[in-house]
Amino acid sequence: MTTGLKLLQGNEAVAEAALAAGARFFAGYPITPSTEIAEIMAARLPAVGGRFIQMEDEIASLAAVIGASLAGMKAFTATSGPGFSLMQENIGFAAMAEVPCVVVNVQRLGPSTGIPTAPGQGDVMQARWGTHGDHPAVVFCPGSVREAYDLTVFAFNVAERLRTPVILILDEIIAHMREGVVLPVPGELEIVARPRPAGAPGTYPVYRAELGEVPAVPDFGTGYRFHVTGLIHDESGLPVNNSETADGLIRRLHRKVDLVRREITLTRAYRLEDAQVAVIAYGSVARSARRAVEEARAAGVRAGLLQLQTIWPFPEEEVAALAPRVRQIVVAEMNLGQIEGEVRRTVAGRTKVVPLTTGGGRLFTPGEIRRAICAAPGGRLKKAVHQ
Amino acid sequence: MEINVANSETGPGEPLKINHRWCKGCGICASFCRQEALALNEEGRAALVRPERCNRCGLCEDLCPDFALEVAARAPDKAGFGHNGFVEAGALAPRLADRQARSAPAEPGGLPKAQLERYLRQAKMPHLWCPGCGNGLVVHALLKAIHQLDLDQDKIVVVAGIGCAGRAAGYLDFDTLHTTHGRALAFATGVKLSRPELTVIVLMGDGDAAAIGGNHLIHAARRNIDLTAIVFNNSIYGMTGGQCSPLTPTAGRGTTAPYGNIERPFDLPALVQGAGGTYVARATTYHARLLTDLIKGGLRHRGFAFIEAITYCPTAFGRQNKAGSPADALRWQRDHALNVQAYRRLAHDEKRGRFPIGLLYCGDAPEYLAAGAGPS
Repeated sequence: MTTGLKLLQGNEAVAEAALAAGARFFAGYPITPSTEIAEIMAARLPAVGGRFIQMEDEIASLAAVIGASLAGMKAFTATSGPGFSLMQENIGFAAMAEVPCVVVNVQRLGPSTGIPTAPGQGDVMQARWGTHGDHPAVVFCPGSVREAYDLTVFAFNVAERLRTPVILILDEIIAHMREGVVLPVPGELEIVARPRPAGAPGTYPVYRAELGEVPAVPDFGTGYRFHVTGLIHDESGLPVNNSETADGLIRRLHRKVDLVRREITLTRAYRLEDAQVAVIAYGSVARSARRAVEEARAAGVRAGLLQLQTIWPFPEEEVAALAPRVRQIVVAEMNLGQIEGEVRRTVAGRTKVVPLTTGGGRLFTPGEIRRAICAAPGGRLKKAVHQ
Repeated sequence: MEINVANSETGPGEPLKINHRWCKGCGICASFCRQEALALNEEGRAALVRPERCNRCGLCEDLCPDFALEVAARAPDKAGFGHNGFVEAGALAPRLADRQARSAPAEPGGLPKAQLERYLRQAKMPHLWCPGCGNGLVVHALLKAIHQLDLDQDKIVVVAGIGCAGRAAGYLDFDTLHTTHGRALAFATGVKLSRPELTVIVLMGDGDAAAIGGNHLIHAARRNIDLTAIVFNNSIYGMTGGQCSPLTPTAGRGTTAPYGNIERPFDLPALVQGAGGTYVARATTYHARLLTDLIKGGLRHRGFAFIEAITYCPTAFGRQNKAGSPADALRWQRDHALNVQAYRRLAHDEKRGRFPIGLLYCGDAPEYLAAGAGPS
């Protein structure tokens, strides 16, 4: 069942999906190119019993989201580069205190104010390492409006299941591009709720991690009277200062993500079966890359595409599997090679890795990617197409 | 850990129970006991050396920052109200209560320890604050206010920032949220919006609320959202070792102002009132009963309630500024704070060196959550 054909932009798809996933709280601050998400939530949340608030900055926005989530609401925020920088502090808090929430970052060209209306993919490493300390990261990146919808629902589900912040990184093109999409019927979506305690209030250790290393932390106001902190804490949630507990907690936070790594690592393979040259791309670049693969094939070069929908945890198995099969991997991204480094680390010299980068805040044309494909060892046989 | 006779040097029937595990030996009780019934023993802990002289006035209990003293069968009419600050506090309290809720009982005396224990996470006690730190007095006033209002313990969320004051949340047996530095009000806003039926109390230090959290403070006030915010103002960054805060007095010393602070401090109540807060109050830790009454008023107030609690950091502020013992600091509070009505009657020159305490402002702007958020 579907809802029929709709013309939606990526930001609208994110908002629709968040509502379908059960989000009932949004706190945000206006910033291009993500603002439509806040505007839609302001208009739509009251009708479904939710709450919208425009906060004084992005730090406060994520703080309010975390507060609302601890009180039991599915909550999220949306921002762009500079605002995403301000949110890093509380992303770490949500990871440490295990508070489910979703942060949408519509990437624009940076650093700093950059070009607010131009697309970028320069935040992929920030999404992994932006907040201080060793923390897990789950980051999804859609390459179409429909993917923006699906990955938003998935982001909420993973956030709830793992009790961790999940980051959805769009780029300005995906956010503002309108496509005809057929959306699933919300009632038929798989919607996940966070684990809640089976034990009665009293001495229940709210941060004791049970199945899958995820604790069933209660909602505020339900009688458990527990403590939530960004300090290292024990199973009771209260702060402790010893190295053993700290190490145990930090490792568990990573383990709960590692345990579901296969389920949450999403990639799309296109014509990779017999490929001699592979393109790795994500977000809007994957769309150009797909066209480039077709053009390269039309010119006789066996090319394929691995689109990363999950950026973190990095899809190591999928990338590593390419290494013995292709002569070259072209990593195309709208930054100066942030994911290229991960690809190099993963293939560990078993195949050649070539970057296709830009700091210019613009999408690659299919021709640019096709030329990179055809310049590869597997593509050199067809000089004719290397125009 | 229970407070019981075994934990105390005094036996059954004696006027005062002392929890030596919690007592940090600050000497406030001995210094303020007008009967000279209390002293510090050879271990530096409070001891009732002349039990026959104790008139059960309860002043020692009210001024103990460690929750370590309990006066048995406290004399309600002798509760230390014979001197400056408490006269003012006592005089103001009925007016406050009248303004906020005519039906609210004005309960004299302290909070019985058996009741106090209900609100504390016993396993975490004694608290980490230094001997003589006033933070315990602010917490004590808060717990008395909660107790006297008979609020549902399961429906209170205490949200705290970072610093010495922020650590208060960990000792309180409510749902508690220890946030990032300065952000407590923003977290609290999310909690309150998500579950408006909860009573949300926000505890912050002066650097926490007024420096890194200043933006959140003015916007919470502007929204007039139904939170009760208490700032523990000790005029210094205590946990990091005594750096200047936005509340350090001009010419005061901090490790980051070794030649004296060249900046001016905030007038926090004026700031919050100007930003739109509708309940603005100030008390000191010496005026413990006033502080309790003001917190009660804030908890009953529907809107953004702000209470500045003037407290003392003997370790990081006191040493650098030669401000004396914890008891000296309480006397300073007693002698420099003035009931707001009396303060406003003073001529401009007479106000120098004094500051007003009490309910400084109470307005009736609409509360944030009361506004319809959807299409009308």
